[in-house]
Formats: sequence, C-alpha cells, structure tokens
Amino acid sequence: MNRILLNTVVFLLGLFALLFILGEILEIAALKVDPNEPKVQEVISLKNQTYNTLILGNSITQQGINPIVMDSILKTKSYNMAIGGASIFSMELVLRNYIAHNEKPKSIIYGLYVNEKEWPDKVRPTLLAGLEDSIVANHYDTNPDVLGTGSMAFYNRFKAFRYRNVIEHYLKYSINPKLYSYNYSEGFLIRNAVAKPITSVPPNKAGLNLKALQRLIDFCAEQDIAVTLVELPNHQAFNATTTNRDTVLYELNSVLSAGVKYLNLNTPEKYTLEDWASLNHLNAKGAKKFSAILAETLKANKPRE
Amino acid sequence: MIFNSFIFFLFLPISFLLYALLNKKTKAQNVWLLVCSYYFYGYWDWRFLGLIFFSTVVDFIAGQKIQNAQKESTRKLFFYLSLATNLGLLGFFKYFNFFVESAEILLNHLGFHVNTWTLNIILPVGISFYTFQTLSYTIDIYRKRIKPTNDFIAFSAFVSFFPQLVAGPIERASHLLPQFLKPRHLSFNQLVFGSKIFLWGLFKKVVVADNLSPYVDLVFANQETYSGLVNIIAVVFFAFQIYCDFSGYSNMAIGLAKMFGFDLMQNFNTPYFATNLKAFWQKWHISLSTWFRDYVYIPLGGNRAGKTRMYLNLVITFLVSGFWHGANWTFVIWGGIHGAFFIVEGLLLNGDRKRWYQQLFGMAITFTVVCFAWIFFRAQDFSHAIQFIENSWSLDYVHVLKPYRIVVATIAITSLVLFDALKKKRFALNIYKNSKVAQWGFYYLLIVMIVLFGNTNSQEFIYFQF
Repeated sequence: MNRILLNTVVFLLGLFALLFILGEILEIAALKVDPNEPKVQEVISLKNQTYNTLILGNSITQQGINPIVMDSILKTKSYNMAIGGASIFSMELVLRNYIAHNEKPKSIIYGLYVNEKEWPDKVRPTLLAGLEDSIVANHYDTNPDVLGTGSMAFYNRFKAFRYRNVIEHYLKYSINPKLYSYNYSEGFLIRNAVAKPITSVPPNKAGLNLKALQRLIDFCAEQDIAVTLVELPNHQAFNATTTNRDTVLYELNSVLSAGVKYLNLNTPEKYTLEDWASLNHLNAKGAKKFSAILAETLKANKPRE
Repeated sequence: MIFNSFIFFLFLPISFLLYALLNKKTKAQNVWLLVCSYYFYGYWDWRFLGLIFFSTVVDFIAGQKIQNAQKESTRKLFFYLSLATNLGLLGFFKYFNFFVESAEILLNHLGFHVNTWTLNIILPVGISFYTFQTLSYTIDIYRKRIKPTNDFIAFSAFVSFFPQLVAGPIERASHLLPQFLKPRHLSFNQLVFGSKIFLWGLFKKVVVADNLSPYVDLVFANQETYSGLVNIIAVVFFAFQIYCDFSGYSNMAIGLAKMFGFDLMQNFNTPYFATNLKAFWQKWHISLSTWFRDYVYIPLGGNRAGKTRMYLNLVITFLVSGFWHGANWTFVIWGGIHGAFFIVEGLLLNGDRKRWYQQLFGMAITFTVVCFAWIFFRAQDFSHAIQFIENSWSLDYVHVLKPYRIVVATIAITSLVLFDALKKKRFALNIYKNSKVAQWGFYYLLIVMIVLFGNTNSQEFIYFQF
C-alpha cells in the first residue's frame, strides 16, 4: 500500500513537472511562431490610450485594414485591435477590457466575416487568461452560449493547455517559414507574402453569429460608440463557392439598428493576385488598397457637420 | 452529466470519498450509490428520474411475483407485465413518432390520405440501455436462471449504477446484481487500476473521437457539396470516431466501476482487427450482441433448426439490433447490411484465415463492409446515404479539414491502432509489465496528449442518443 501510494505521489509530481516544463516551452514558442500571440499580449496590455477609432475583427481584418492609411485620409487616430481567429464574442470582451483601462473610442469598425457560423462564443485561451477578472466573471462565465466555461477555467490554469495552439503554428512554420515573416504597426499585421495562384476552393456555407453581433452592437449603443460593419474582400474563387450569402445578409438586416452602418466592400475584382497573402487574406499591398477604399467610403458617408 | 465534463470531475471525488468512508457497510454504500446515480442521471433532466424509478419498481415486483407464483399463468402474467412495461416505455419514448410517421407514409402510398399527429417527446438519455438491463433481470428469473433479490435498494442501485447507466455495458443481473449484495473490496491499488482504464477511455474520447467529429459532421451535414476522397475519409474517420467514442465510454465506465469495487464486462475487444464479420460481432459492443444472442437469436431457434432458419434468425436479430439503435430506417438498413454480409460470409467462407496475408485481406474486407454499413448509420436518412455513396465515386479534393487537423487525426488514429495491435503482442506486454518506465511513459503520454490535443468542450457521447 505504502509503495503504491509513494509511486502515485512520485508519478503525480513527475506529471506536474512535465506539464510545467511543457507549458514554459510552449509559451516561449508561442511568442516566436504564433503571429497572434504578440498581438494578444499587446491588446490586453493597452493602457491610457486615446484612440478614437478601434478596428475589430479576425485575421482578415487584422491584416486587411491599415490604420495608418485610414488615419491619413480620415484624420483620425485609430488602432487595429483584430486578432486572428477571434470570434465576435471575444472581440466584445476585448473592447470591454480596453474601455476599462483606456479612453472610450468614438467609433468602432467591425470587419465582418460572413463565414463565422462555425464559430460559437469561443475565446482564445491566452486572451481569456489576460482579461480583467470582472469581465470574465460578468460576461464570459455568465454567457450560456460559451462551451464548457467551468472546464475552460480549470484547464486554462495550465500553460501547457493555454498555449497548446502553438503546435499548429509550429507545424505550419516548419512547412513554410515565409508565412511567418510579419510585423505589426498600430495593431495591423503587415504581411508581404504573395499567394500562389488560387484555383479550386472547397465549398463553404456563409453564416454569422448574429446573437453575438447583436450583443456587441447593444454594448456599443450603451457606451455611445458608433458602429460600422464592413465586409472585407474575399478572393473571387472563395466567393464563387460560397453559398447562403444572401440569406445571411438578409438576416443581418434584423440587427442593423439606427446608427449602425453596414458597408459591403467584398469586391475582389479590384484586387490582383499580388494583393493577396492567402485565400481570403490581403497582404500589405492589398491592405493599403483596401484601407484607402474603406477610408474614402467612410469619408463619403460621413454626415456633413 | 457526462464523464468528460468538468462537473463530473467534481462529482466523482465527492461520490467516491463518502463511498470509501462507508467501506464494508454494503447497505449504506448502496444507498449512497443510488443517491449519486440518481443525481448523475437527474442532472440531464430530473423528469427522467420518475421513469427509471417506475421501471425499477415494476421489475422488482415482477421479479418477486414470478418467483413466488404458484401457477404458470401467474408467472407468465408478471413476466409479460414486465416486458410490456419496459418495451412500452421504450416504444413510446423512442418509437412513437417513428411509427406514426411510417404509418402515414405507408397509408399515403396505398392511396389512403390520412392526417396524423406526432408528440413532442424528449428521449430519455440511455433508456435503451437500462431497459435492456432490467429486462434481462426479469427474463432470467422467468427462465429460472437467477433468483430475485429482496433488497430493493441494491436492485435500484443495480438498475441505475451511474458508471454504466446511460451507455452500458449492458450488464446481466446474474453478473452485476450479486456484486451489490456482498461487500466490495476497495483498495488503493484498485483505484489506481480503475483510473488507468478511465484515462485510456478519456484519451479515446477527447483526443481521437472528438478530433474526428468536426470533419465527419461537416461532410455528413453537407452531402450535396462533398464527394470522392473527402467522403471516403469521412466514413473511415466516422468508423474510428464511433469506436473511440463508444469504447472510450465503456473504458471509462469499467474504470469507474473498478474504482468503486465493481467488475463490469468487457464491451470492445479491438473490433477492427476482426478478420471476418462474425469475429467483428464478437468484439464490437459485446454486451449488446450477447444480449441479442441470448434473448432474441436463441429464443428464435438459433442454429437449431437448419441453415436456412439460422440465417433467417440472424437477419431478424440484426434488424432488431439496428432498430434498437434508433427510430430511423437507416439503422434498420445498417442492421440489414450486417445480416446480409453475415450470410454471404457464412456461405462463401470456409475454414480459418491462418496466413498473415489472408488475415490482412480478411481485416480489409471486414473493415470495408463495416464502413459501408456505417454510412447508413451516420446519414440523416436513406436518400442522404444513397447520395453520399453516389458522390463517393467521383474524384474530388481533400482539403476540407485544415492540414493540422488531418495530422492530429492521423496521429490519434495511428496511436490507437498501434496500441490495439501491441496489446496483442506478448513482447510488448512483457515490456509493459516489467518496465516502470514503459508504464509511466505510456500514461504520461496519454495525459500530455489529452492536455495538448483533447477537445475540452465536453461533447456528448454518440451512444447517449440510443
């Protein structure tokens, strides 16, 4: 009995040591090969900033909207807060977290991706770990649409779990290190890689988490923040195989309240192959072009004072 | 409450600690197990508890009455009462709407236009499992194979025993019930042993099954858009998904029961290594296939009345088995395919496949047949299954799943197959038994894989719906 007990204790100690070491290694690797991780750390550590426009969304927005180009046209001070793989819900939490430590922005631009249907109210583990406790308690733990809140809170204490996504990035990085040459500027992910010619694209069904979008819009209304929803361009080949888009856009009308603008700038014909980094992500060149189009559109839509 | 949920990891230590404190107090332990099991089951929906309690009371009384009856007619009366109650509950909750809808379709085909209505019935989790378990109790008493118990608490705990309540193994009263009536041996060694079995099951569920399910769900939900190799990969993935989902649950159930001092029957024994369909059914969902063998196939006559009758009995048993899985014709067809191939195999194959290449060929053929049948099992309906098969013939791309997911799925499947293959090899077993490094290394690897690749979203087990 004593021997078995001793063995078990040694086994468990070994296990915790193993998980600890693994967690430390993964954390280091995450900052090195996961392009989103430095951004996550930057976003959650923003303090006393005075941006008047925040740009929210996922990786398409993160590398599709260049705030410097926007600001030069609109004479604003903006920051691209989008994070790769971020759901609408996680962007809401990021915005709440930002407002808790910084001056409230006047407006947000949300890069809408109508293929988010597969994305429930998920939050990146490292982002969740960095958010204010009160925001997690009041808006994450109480959200019935979040899968496995209790288990997530538990597992997320282990760095090995929190940083496990880096394995995926490491594999991609090993296959194509070029994909991982990037830089950030005001939150904008600068990618210079040019996509290979895109021929066939798997079928995809458009969808949107309207419930999460409605919550974000409601929160912005509550905070008196103007909302602009903008659709960034997807590659033509991607658009060609997308179904259900009209239905999603029709449903989107139901959440568009007064003061919320929707701009459909999904016009891939304006971009050449050199503008794309991958299937539906623009590279730095394409982002410059798109940001100018977006800024001019916003300028044209701006009510005269 | 499911085994891979966070709440279960709070529930388990509490239930085990008090149980261990009551060591050697069998009756008190049974009461505690009953409380835990009812809490476990009621966590889904407390209304289900009334149903399981009703079923327990009816079978407990029926068992006593069958045993004590002086007349054969009274014995029969209570036996049929138990049958009618259990099958009636199952029929109502699981099959009512199916029968109504099927009757409507049939009548419409015959030219009679009828207006029917269906009920909004919630299927109680695991009803097929505990119904069959309690049925075996009354059937065995009626057949004079076992004697009924006078201990209502022990019987109730047997019916609702939480480790195997919702997805088996479907235990026979002759095996499990006596374990509730005598003191259980609790030891730390057993706790560790049970934990190891549980861990292996958890690995199969959260690392293999749950990583395969997104791909499978995507392809089967969008049959109009996927074809070719994508479909074939989806079926193979589903074969491993359902195996790991269900056998993972069984491992967890067996491991949990072991912790509490109970011994449950083995439910899976590397089924995809079977070299023929007969062997497959001796290795797949053993508790259900032996249940159907003992309570359907043999009472129908088994192989006692000539080959033709035997094959007919086999087909009937497989069709009923398919129907047990769900109120959908796809399940019946799934059973029918197995029955048909069983006959083909019986007619064409003579002798054992002894040489390695014969065995390999046998495994490949058996796996192909099983996968073909899985298409019907997984498809929404018959037309979807046919469309899926038709689409599978065309050449198409494979990049439905992210390459990383393919890598994870491949690693998971390979490690599973490798483990299943190695555990049959004496040299591997010797290394494992004699080397602490190998043992610890194996469990460290399992835990690390669960942490790194496990799906923590507490996905339900597929077999809960049955």
